Amino acid sequence: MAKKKKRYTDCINNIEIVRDFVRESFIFGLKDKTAHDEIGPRSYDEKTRQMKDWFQECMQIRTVKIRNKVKYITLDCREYTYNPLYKVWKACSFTSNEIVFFFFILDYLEKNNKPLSMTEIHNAFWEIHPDGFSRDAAQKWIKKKGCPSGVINFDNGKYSLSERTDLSHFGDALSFFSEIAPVGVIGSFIIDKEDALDSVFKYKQHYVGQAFDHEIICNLLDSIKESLYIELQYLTRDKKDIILIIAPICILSSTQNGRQFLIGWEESSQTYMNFRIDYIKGLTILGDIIENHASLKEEYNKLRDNIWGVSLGNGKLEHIDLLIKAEDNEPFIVRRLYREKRCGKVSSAGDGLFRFEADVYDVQEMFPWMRTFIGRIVSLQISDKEYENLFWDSFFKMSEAY
Amino acid sequence: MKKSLFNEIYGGYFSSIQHILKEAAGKDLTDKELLDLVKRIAKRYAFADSAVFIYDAILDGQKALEEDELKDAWPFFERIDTGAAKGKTNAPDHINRSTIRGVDIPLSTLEKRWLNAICHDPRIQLFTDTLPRFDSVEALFKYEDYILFDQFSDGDPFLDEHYKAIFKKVLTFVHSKTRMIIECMARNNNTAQKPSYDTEKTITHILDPECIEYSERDDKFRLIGNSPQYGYTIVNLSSVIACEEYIGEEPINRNQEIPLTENYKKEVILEVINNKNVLERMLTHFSHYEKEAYSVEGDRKFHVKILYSETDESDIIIRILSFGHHIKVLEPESIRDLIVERINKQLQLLTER
Repeated sequence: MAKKKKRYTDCINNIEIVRDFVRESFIFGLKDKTAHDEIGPRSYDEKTRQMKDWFQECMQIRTVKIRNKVKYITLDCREYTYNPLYKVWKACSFTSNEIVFFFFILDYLEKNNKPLSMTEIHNAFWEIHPDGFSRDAAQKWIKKKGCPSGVINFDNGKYSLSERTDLSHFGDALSFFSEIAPVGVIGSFIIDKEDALDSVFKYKQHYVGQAFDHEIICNLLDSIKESLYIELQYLTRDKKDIILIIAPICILSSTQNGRQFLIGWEESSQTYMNFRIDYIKGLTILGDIIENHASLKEEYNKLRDNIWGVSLGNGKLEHIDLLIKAEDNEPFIVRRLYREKRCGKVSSAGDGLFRFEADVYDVQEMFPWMRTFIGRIVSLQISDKEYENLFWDSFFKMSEAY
Repeated sequence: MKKSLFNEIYGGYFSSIQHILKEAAGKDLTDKELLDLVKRIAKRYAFADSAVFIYDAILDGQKALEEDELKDAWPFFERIDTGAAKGKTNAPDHINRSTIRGVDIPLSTLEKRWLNAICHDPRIQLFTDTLPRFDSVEALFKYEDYILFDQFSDGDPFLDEHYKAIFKKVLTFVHSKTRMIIECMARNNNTAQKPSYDTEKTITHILDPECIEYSERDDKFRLIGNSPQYGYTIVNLSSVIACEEYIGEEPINRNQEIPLTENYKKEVILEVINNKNVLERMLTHFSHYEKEAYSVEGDRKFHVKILYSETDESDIIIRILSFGHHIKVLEPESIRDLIVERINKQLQLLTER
């Protein structure tokens, strides 16, 4: 008997099956069909077709060899008033019964304006749609999706609608915070419920790719707030899958390079560790309370006085003294030093010279920033000379390359 | 319990049906009106081909209602014969009427918790003093747990009353696309002074506003618009002293050749040797730009083309420098020359030591 061809759908039942694929297409955009070993060619075609439907004009196609095309996502974030990658969160699959029953129950509960039992609701539904959801299936779905979401309340055996909120005065705030606040995709869900909100905001240096991690961020922030241990399934730099129990402390997000990190306390090693959010493959919130959470957070906050980025290095503090020359027509260099100094301090050394000093745990984290002053570095002194040599070695390699 | 954001209730199809039913409520729609409504709504809330799928499901739903057999259909619209003879008059022989009133989907618990959380952001005061609060649920997160560790420290003064008043006024003008006259402080070029504006010297712009741009890195808002006199213009909101509606003669365009909008893109091509995961770091770093990457030597060497606006050029150069010897500029020569100039200046400083 011939195999029935699966009908194409632009919805998926589990975001995890596309999350890594979509991220790879957006960040790298290098692989054609033949290079994706982990999925078959049919699955590649389906996924790229779905991405085209979700992201539309953000999808580009490049031919790499005859007949081989790379399909990737790229966009200039400054052109958008909203994050087009949020669409992946809005592609959850459903059945006809579910969508029909959902809008029926919303309408019926509002019309009757009082709590109703499932029998009452379903009897009314069955009169109009005798071939639809059975009573048991409807009850099961509402308890699984409608009630846990809080859209429909269930109390004393009866269902009612959650109260409505007038957000008509809040449109600009929603537009802005849906892009800027943590887990902003939730703001996008709210915007979709409102009548057409046209945003007047656009965004510069806006790391829209972080959208893929909003669910993980949501659960991490919740576990931090509730002081709960978590179990992390994490992919290390050498591509190993490890599982750790962590006391989550905070999220560190970079506005300059797009990476986000979880800071967590790992009991067995008695250290604070940093984890790339996009390398977290699985997360379970455990029911155990972190008894000393407040003191762990307070201790980490003190350490932040000497952390440039996210790393504690080898735990040893190094002193750095950087002398920068700014010409008279370069006030922007001085402005840069003051606004970008983070845990360091800046002082005038006279004669157009400015001194930056800091005591940090991981000096190498500072190298990218220090390199941006190439052409103006009068002197560099680091307490461990090896780091000084490393910095200048990199510079000399750079000058050889040109 | 772990929260899931992936729920069909937040999905593009559910949002589409909500708005389709709301707009169709109480109306008799022709086939064309119904199709146009579905296309418009699906384009906004769902995906490229969703309009076709939704319309087909609605038509199947009409058949299902007539045949009393639901199956896989969406019976949201019934088909009602008008009695007009088909093809004999201009009046349609049937209309489409919704079977369910469009009801707003209430906020979910997660949405309420998120709203409670963002109301603690100090920037909320720029928008409203009337905050939606949901006392039955806790905030989803605390801002102190989410740290932007490399944000610049000279961000806009969001709590300053003058700034808030200017922001709200500018926001109104941008929405209504009202031509504005803006008085701003000029940039202060005295290196020792902070803030970086000269309170004595001012500049006046006449501007047709387009949008307000926010940079999370800078923590600043900028008004972007077109000056009839000077073309594409960016104004830092923190420098604005006053702004009003412009009512006056049409300003003279000083130079007819200046483009009124900044849509011209430049490109830079970089070579990346992929040691120690540099390629991933670099592509993530530049991911908010339009870009294209391709391998020139297996997994070892890649070329990356980045498209950017002219106003972003210094930013691009700073970012390229931050990668040191890991990336190299191939084109254009102008940027290569700037990098070489910086390298030579540094070599000179090293020999002067």
